Amino acid sequence: MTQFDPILDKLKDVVGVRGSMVVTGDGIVIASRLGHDLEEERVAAMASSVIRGTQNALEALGQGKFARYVLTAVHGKMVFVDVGPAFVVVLTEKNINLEATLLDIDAAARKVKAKGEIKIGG
Amino acid sequence: MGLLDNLKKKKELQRLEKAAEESPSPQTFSALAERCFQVGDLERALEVAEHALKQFPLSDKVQATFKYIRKAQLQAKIRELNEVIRKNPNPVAYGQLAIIYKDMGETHKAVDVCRELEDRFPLSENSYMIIGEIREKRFREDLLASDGERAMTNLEHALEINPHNYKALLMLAEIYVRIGAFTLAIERLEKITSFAPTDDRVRNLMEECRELVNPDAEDEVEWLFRDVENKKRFANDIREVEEEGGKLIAPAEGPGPAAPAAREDTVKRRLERFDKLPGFLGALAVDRDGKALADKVPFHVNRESFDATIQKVYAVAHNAALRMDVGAFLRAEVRGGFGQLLLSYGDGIILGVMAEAKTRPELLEQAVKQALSGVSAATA
Repeated sequence: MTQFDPILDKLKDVVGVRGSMVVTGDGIVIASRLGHDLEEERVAAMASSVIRGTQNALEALGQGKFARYVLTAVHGKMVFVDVGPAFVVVLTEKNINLEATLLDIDAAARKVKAKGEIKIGG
Repeated sequence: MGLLDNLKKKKELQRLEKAAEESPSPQTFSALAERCFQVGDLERALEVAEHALKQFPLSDKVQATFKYIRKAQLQAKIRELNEVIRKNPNPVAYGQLAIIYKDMGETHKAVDVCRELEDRFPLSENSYMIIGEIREKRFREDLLASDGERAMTNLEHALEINPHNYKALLMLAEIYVRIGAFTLAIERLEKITSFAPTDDRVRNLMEECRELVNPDAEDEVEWLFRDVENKKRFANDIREVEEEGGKLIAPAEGPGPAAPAAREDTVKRRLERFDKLPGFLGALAVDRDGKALADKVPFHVNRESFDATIQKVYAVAHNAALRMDVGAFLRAEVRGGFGQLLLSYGDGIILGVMAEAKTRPELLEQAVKQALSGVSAATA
């Protein structure tokens, strides 16, 4: 049980959310709450690839980090929010009210950030 | 007070019933359906909404009312089935629940239910059938090899449990025809004719497969699925009903006639408009494979770096979508200290546009939408 689990538990109850995790850019999972059809290792690897790949690409333009990233595919969405040393990653169904869900995700991200220093592996 | 309330509700319903009868319109029918729904008569609400949809199929109001009531009805059914599963779990209830989620478009939930069904009742073919159907539909829509392969695996598994499953045999045969694996299609169609010899469509499909089959030229199934994904089209299309004198199977048509150069010109012209977007930092259009088609970059931004950034962001997003099995890439919105980046798919191309943080997101959105709309039509 980590200090972030209650936040992710609450996020899991939001309509259309399939799962969420707090993960570093290197793919180290700090906390996760994923649906049955999502493997932690796979989600973490994907998250790391998106975070690092996108930041590297932006750095080539001298632009650096991103604060929030919403990726939409035909059958689902993925949201990445920067919370300092890590990211909150959320996977959702395709038919969600994105505006409303983003409010919940941002609220969860703020709480994760407010919990203080994220200790890797803690 | 309760009695008075009921009387009021009844009178209101009678008034709306009369209004719908005397002057039928999308408004009067929708008002009646919504009122029935509000008083808890879901069945009557759906009946009215269905009737309204038949009378006014193009009305947005009627469509929205119907969808809302139908969804509410399905949610009631979901609660009921969950209760049944809790008290007396059985494959039928699980199957019905998964089908409702599938029909509502909540495929991940449908798959979750199927997995539970599979764990509890491993001898039930339902879960494999439902997942097979979901994957088959996705394969037809997105043309991704992984969907086709999973459709095949699940349908074959359903056949291991019930070798006479007509639907599974036909779906599999049609998948094999679409990818060009006629030998395998014939095997499945022959099985159907062994217990349904009078099925004319199946017999005709089988005859056509026999005319087209060339076992020496057929690749491994895995390669045939990959070929569909790479070419972004099936090897063959199947018609539902045989046209007079025509065939059920026809080679699939390739991409549209637009020449790449003409397409690039059209896209380039559309990108010129971004000059007017406040805080504009650059735009690049790429095809599904990430190949650059045209760009528009202000003089103060390094063009090469900009194009490389957009291509890399798209490649990463596209791969992530495939890895997470959520289908093809549609859109990415990235925000940060640098401003905002919007990548959007439309009309066969992906357009990436970067703007400063001060640019209103709705303006950026609108500009991208306008640039993407009707590129094919303008090119043809």
